[in-house]
Amino acid sequence: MPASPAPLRVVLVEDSLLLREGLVRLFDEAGYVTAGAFADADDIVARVRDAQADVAILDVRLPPSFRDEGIRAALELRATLPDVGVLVLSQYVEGVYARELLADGTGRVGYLLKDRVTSLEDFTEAVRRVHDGGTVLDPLVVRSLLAARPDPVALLTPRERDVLELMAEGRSNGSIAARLHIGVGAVEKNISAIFQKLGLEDSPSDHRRVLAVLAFLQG
Amino acid sequence: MTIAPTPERRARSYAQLWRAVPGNAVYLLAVFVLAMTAIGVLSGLFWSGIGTLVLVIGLPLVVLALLVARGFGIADRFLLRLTGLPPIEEPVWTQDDPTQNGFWRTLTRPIRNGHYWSSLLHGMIINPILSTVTFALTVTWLSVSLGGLTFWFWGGFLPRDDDSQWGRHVADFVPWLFGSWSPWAVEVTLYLIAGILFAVTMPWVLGGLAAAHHAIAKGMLGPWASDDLAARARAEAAARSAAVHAEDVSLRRLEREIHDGPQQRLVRLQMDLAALERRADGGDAAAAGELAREARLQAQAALDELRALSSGVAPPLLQDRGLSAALVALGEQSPVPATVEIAPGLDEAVPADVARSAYFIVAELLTNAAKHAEATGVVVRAWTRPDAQGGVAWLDLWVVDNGRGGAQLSSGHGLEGLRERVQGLRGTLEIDSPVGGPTKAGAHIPLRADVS
Repeated sequence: MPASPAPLRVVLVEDSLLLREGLVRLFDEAGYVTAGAFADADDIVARVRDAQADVAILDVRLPPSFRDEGIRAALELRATLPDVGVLVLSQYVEGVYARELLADGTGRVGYLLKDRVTSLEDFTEAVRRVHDGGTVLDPLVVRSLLAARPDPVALLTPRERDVLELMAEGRSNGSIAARLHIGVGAVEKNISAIFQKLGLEDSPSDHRRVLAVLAFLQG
Repeated sequence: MTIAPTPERRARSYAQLWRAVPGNAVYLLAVFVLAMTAIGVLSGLFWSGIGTLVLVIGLPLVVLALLVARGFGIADRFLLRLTGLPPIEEPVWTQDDPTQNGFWRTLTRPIRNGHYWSSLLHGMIINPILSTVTFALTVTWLSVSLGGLTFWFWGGFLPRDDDSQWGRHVADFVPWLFGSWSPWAVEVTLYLIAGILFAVTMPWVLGGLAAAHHAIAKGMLGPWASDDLAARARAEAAARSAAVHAEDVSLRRLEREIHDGPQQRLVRLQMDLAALERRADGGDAAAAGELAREARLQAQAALDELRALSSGVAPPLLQDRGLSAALVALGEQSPVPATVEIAPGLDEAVPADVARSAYFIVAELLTNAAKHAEATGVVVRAWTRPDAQGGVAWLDLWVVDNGRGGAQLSSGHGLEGLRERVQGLRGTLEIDSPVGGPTKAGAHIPLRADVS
């Protein structure tokens, strides 16, 4: 990993002290600066702005009602501070929340299960992609979206399905190739086959492509 | 606007009154016999039972009197059908829990039921008095009308001497009217007038007497308004026990799943971590790394299992966003393309506990549509229904698919558990699924305590 000149500044909102401490430790290991760690999402925009954060990482269930405060805070952040990446971490994933986070189509958002942060490599990769303006979706969300669309997806070969899943998670061609232990050329070939079978328009931009796939999966 | 009865109409309704006369007459005569039998039998049993109550034999006698009173009550209600008045329904004879069947409980059951005592009071006291009066009036009316109208015929056969010719005294008393009449003609005329008067009024008199019997029997031998309350209380109790049972079953399953799943994983995780500690102390980095990887896999699996379990207990979206959002999401996740229709204001109308069950009911019905019905399309409709006063009182959940039908409530398909769940909410589940389809499943759940 190339050391960036200025370390990434992260704001964390997580109501559980246990997890908050664990995540701060993880950020240290990843080389991020924890610019703020809060137990609730009150005044989230001001807090993130004051902390000059690059990425905000939020839990979904937060005080006072422990419902979807984190999602609402994430949407508020996306609307007011478009340069700040937002990564939502949760104990469960809901297709509805994924759709709301992706709705503005500008990227720079991620939605992951908390389990994923146990792998430092996966986690830093996700934070980097969000920071770079991309989209990160948990494989579980992708899988539930795929399960709900049996018709054209059934036409895909197993390999094409793998590629589709990884693409929907927001991965680049290079990342997909590395994951599946195949060449980038093979990935590109699979992707054009997928787009043909699903009747979608291919796009050179990774992020656009992800949105096209997600739009398809959401029906 | 009321329609004034025309003479024609009046004549017709009078004729209709007459149609009831034979039945009423037979009833009024027969019920007297019944009442006299009843007073004898019931008094004998009951008072000898009371008299020997201090001895053990008294109690069964009292119970027997009550049971026999029930029988007389049934006989009376049966006879009342002769009158053409609306039949009196059977009261509720078993008001306490029929599954409690100890000897003393069974023996003393009639004593604890007001209907038995009411029947006894009716059969032993009220009906004999009433019947005596109505019997006398009935006989009077029948004999005067029949006898009066036919005196001209049978009067001639009576022995006639001066004393018995009361027509003469009448003629002497009102000479301006009967001055030139023979005593016989006076007698025939007066008898005829009395016969006509009694005959003309007979339908009303007999009808009124029968109606009096009917009204008293309805109050004393029929079901009471409090029976409905008792029945509702029993339905509540049944619903509660179904709910308790369903909850018990699901809690047991949850316990088992926690025990077999995450708990085992965490035990294994601890073992792995202990081994890891030993290896790390021993300086074997490679083995320690391998154990750490395994430990993480165990932890991950435990997390996955816990997530599946907790979303089975309460789906997160339902908690976060309410029933409408959760049902829409269910429709989107359904393998069979689903259209979801949601009543406006659903989330406010449905309390949280009902919402949770409603979610699982729809989820299960959708699963059935996908798994068993081979459907290619399904409609989910969650609607609220007002009661007569216009307040929201019912939640109607419909899941209708275009599959091959043939689903049955009796067994399999998980429909039985589903019904228990609906019953636990005091609701009803209806399945209309002819072979060949389509399948319509409807769960109707009351949202307030006062509707059922």
